[in-house]
Amino acid sequence: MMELLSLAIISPLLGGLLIFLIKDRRFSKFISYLSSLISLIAFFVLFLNFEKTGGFQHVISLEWIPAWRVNIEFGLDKFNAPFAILTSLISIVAIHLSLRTAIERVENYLSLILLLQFTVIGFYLSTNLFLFFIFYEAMLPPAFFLIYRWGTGDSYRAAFKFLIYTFAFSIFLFIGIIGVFMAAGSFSFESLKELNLSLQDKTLLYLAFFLAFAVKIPIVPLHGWLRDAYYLSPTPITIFMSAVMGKMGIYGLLRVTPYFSDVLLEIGWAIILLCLISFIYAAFLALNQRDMKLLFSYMSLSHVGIITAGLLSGTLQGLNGSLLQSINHGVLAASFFYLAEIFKRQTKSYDMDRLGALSKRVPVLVFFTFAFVMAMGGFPGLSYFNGEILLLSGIFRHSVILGFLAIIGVAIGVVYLCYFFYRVFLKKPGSDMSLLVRDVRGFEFVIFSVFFIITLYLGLNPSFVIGQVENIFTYYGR
Amino acid sequence: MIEFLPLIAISVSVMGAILIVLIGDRNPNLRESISVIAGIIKFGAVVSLVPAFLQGKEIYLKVATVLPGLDLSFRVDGLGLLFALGASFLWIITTFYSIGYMRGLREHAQTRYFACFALSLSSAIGISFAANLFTMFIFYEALTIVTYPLVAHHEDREGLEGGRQYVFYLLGTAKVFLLSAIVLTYVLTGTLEFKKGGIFTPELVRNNTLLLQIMLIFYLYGFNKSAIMPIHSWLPAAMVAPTPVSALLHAVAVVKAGVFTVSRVLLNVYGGDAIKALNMQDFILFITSFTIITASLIAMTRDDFKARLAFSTVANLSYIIIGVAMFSPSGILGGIVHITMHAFSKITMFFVAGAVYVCAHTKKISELDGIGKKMPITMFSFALATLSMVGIPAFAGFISKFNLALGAIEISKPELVGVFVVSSFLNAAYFIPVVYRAFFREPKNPLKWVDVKENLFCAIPLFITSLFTVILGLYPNLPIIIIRSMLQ
Amino acid sequence: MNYFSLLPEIIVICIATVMLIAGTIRRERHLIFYLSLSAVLSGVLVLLLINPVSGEGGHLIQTDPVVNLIRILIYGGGAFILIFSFYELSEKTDRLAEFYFLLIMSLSGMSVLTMANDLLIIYLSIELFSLCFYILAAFYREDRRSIEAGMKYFVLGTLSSIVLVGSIAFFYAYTGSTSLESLRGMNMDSKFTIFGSLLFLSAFAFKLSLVPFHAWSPDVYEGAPTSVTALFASLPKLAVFILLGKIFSLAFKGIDLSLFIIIVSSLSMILGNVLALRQKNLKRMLSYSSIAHSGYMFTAFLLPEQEIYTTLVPYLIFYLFMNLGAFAVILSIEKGEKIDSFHGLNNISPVLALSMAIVMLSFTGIPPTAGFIVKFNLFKNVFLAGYGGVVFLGIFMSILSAYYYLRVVFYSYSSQIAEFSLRKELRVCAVFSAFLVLAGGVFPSIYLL
Repeated sequence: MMELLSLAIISPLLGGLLIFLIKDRRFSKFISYLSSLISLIAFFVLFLNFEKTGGFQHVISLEWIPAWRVNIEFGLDKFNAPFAILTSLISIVAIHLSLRTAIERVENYLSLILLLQFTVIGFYLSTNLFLFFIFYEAMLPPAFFLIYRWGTGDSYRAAFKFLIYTFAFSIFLFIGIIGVFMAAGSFSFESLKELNLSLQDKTLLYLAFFLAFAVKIPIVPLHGWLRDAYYLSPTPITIFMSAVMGKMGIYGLLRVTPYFSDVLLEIGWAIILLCLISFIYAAFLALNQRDMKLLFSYMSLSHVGIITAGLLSGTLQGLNGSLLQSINHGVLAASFFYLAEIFKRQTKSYDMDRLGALSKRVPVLVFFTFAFVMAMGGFPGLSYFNGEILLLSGIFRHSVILGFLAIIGVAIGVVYLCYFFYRVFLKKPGSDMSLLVRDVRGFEFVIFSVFFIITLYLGLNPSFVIGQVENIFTYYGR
Repeated sequence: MIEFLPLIAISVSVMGAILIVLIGDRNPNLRESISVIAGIIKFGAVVSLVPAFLQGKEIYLKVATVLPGLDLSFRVDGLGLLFALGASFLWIITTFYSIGYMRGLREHAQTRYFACFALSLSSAIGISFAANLFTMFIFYEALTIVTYPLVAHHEDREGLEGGRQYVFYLLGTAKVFLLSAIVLTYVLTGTLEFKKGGIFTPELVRNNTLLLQIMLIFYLYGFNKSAIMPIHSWLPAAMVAPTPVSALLHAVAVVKAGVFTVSRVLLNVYGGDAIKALNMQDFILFITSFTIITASLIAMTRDDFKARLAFSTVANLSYIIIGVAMFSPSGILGGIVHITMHAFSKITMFFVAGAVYVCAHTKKISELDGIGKKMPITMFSFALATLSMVGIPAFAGFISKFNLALGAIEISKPELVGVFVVSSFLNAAYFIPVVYRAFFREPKNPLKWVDVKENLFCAIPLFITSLFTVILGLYPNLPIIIIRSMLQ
Repeated sequence: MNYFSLLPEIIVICIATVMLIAGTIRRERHLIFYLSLSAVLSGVLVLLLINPVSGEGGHLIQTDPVVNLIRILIYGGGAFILIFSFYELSEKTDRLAEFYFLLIMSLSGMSVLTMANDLLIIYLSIELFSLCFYILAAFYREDRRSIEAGMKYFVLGTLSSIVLVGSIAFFYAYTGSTSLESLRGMNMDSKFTIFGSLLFLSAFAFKLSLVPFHAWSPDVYEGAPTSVTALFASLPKLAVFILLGKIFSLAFKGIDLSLFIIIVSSLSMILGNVLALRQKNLKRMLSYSSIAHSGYMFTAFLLPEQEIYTTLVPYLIFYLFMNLGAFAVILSIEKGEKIDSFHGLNNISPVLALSMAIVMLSFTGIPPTAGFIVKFNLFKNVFLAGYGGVVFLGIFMSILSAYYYLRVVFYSYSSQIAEFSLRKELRVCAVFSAFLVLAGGVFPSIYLL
């Protein structure tokens, strides 16, 4: 099993380096599919073969910096395994979509995507804070090259904003990590259990972690990079950012939050309120958008707000809900951005007002879009609803008033999704742009079907991802 | 084996819908036969549940456990069975009527129409057999979504606007009010399973009085298909739909699903004791009484046939809730029986409105002078339905109103009897003029109705439903037995 | 006196003298180059093979493994500078032998400085390499900017020497000895002591171009030949920092200079990074960046004595290689000091672009480069020593620095088609430095103790 895990982690890196060294177009396509497929399958096999309780399993450990008692150590547990699978899955989708859209210098592009995948997986699977931090920062170079080099418009600014925001707030992650090291004398996640700090120091430490991750998620008012970075990036990268990289922040919080439950009792309401404001504010931003990709960007911004809010409620439901919802959101955000790209490819524009009256022309596309809209709108029985009900339960359990605030955001979420569907598919009369739209088929049909099946399956069996809800606190050893 | 019958009843029309879509416009006859066959199978499945139920068998099926306390499961009880019986029976009749109506008007997109129709019935049956709030919520939301294409069927400005309001109100209230209420219930009790007498323990009620009061209001308005005032305006707006849809909406599936769900919440989530302990009974009785009187008054001012019927529906829905909210045996009996009784009367009336539109192309009541001579069956049926609505003895409406009045006296709130009497008078005041105009007034232009002939595809179904108002008035035993067995 | 420790210097200077004589007789540039290279490399070789370590106490000069490591690096880095200047200058000047002689003398000066155990030796060695530097800076006698740089450097440098002499006199007056060990006996709380040490540190702060003693640096960096700039930016820092490390652990042990250190390093970080933001000239930019990096490194003196070396040495090593890598790339490109020249570098030479990217990422402190590890190590230790504020400022400023470092990377990866000629020979140096920086990031256990 250890070999399998090493394979899963290392194959994107190897693939990326191979492509970088052998600059051949056809070869690079083959290798990129192959390496992320290997990674996906390996993770899937591992996922089926591990207990959703207990600590890190299938641990790989290599001695690295003995002076700091830091090893290169990767392991799977309940929290990071779903994220790892999600990352591999989304990489395949992103790679495929990239190959569909004509992209110059595709070899470099693919190798960077694979490197990005490697760093993100490394981030998710690392079992100590130092490695976690390294991968958190190492993710930046591939990401900014991808945004800058292959983005549209003023991608220079977009890439720089993304970089500076993330990098700037990594100060706080640094401080958090050093703080843990100071208090516990070790970088491992285990050491979070034995923090001998006063409540005040703990609060500061937690706030440092929160700030660092909040910019990655992002939470308003730290979302300044999001619009440009999401909008101007090539869509496969947008998919990757929104589905996987935004989740890095959530995952980080998921790792540290349970150890700070006494802090959350003190200041929890304030940061939950902030997240919910982010949730609602972004929903309002989305409400006015006529541009599909911007709409989805803001939608993504909005939804991560409630995921974080639920997480910060520090309750059983909230933590499980945020884990589940991160996966659901990853899958659905990817499908929405994919949809936007389909429209862009065929009509050369993201403008929703120039579409309409599509419902009879492209039945398969309508079916999938409708399914995804319903899922994202929180239709009960589909995957998103389960996450939503857990998150809301968590928030309500923390505070009823905050819960009602969250509900308002949820409702606005439904409104803009309905507007989107109405404007693109139902509105009459349609414009002549609509005539350019073709139905999905081939590999795209397969991808959408996979997303749809995941949505359905997780709608009925969320415990596939989160295991038993009750287990989470036994896991944390309290 | 019998546990799977509810699932069969639900899925048969989903299958039907898929077949309908696959067949499409290529073979309209086959497509519509499938509708009918699916309807019959569904009705058969529901009916065959009755004996088992009356023998007191527990019919329960768990499909999946989504989260702890959040199951996808079905259970057959009296309330649901009654609703399912009515809905599935009326679907068959509505299908026949739809065939006549849609073909008569040469409507477009008939495939979509029949498919959505079938799906909406699945949802309605799903609601009726749902064993917990979660399952019910699934089908409740599904019902809203699949009926949207029906409401916006004409796809013109008016249709889309009506559809927009319909979706906006129903999805919006479901998201804002219902979702928060359900989540809070889940948070407080850890389960969403329906239980006789409610799932809130007295202790819970004592500790969270304010919260539970707010949640109750959220439930009442969250299941907004029940159209309790002041959030009712989607219902008249949805009148732009083709008439069979309005009939389905207002008599069979949608609004009845609304009151059904509210009744479920009142009976099986809260329970009478909790409501009384929360001092919310008077509140419910007040808003429903207010809705009854106000909606009836508004109905009198409407000249559009369907708008008048719509407001009459708003009023009648509150009858059902008021009955359930009395929490006395007769009150509950009256309320729930009214689901069936009102269904038959109101569907007749909508069929009549549609038939008049198909044959005579008019929507205004003031233009109906003398039409009774040309469409005798239609207008005679309407007269029967009117008598039932007003609550004349020997008609269906009487049974429910009588029991409601009894219930009011049982809980010693005689003022409610006053509400019923006044509203019955108002009922009479806005329905009898229609009958009067149709039969006893001559049209100003003697040649106005020369070309008008009855369309038998429309006339026969509505005649059948109007006959049922009489039959149920004379032999109300079956529904009453079912409800009694539930109340014990 | 322990001449054994001076063996490398003796050999190097001998070969250099031979080179100077041979070079002035036959102006054959390859001969000069290879002789100089062999001088420097023999220094490296002697240090590697013999590794002369002097015994404890009482000597004017004193070596230990760490000092020898730094001396290896000084000579090794000097070899790089030699290669750089050969390609930059050999066609422009016929005074290559003089240039190399001065260069090698300055290397020896720095090498001696690292070993110095006596205030007078410190002064002598500093003067030795500084005087060479003044001339090297003004080596383009035809270029007005070069002359100006040399003059400025000379005037201000002399000023700092005076301050240094003053402080040495002060210490001598106070303790009656010039040995570093004797300084330990000073009264630590005395105002005189503190004043003297402040004067002493100021003189070194000038050499490290720390704010507010930095005024010479940007102009000198810009005006001097690029290979000389590479020298200024890298090697003297190594020597001076090591010496300061020794002084802090030996002499100034009990003196509370933390306020001075905090102020100077904070100012350097802030000013260096902020002023670098708008520079379009890479040499100026790297000068400001060196101010900033000196600022970061200066915070290491806040640490307890046993941690100073372990924190500082790795940083110095990789700082050296980052600078060498960056200058190798700059020298490879025609008009490489202009940032606009970097547009589309990747289209011409992916290897150079990648090396530059790695070096710049390392400057910024982004993993998986060594710059990240050493910076993390430094900031971690300073933070643990209880100076959270300085660390916070330092990280914040290094984030700011991402803007100007990565701008270069962005430019070199832009899609613009570039048309300029490249000097292919220096590619090896660039790749070597970049590789070291990357390897240091992946295998930090080698140098982290």
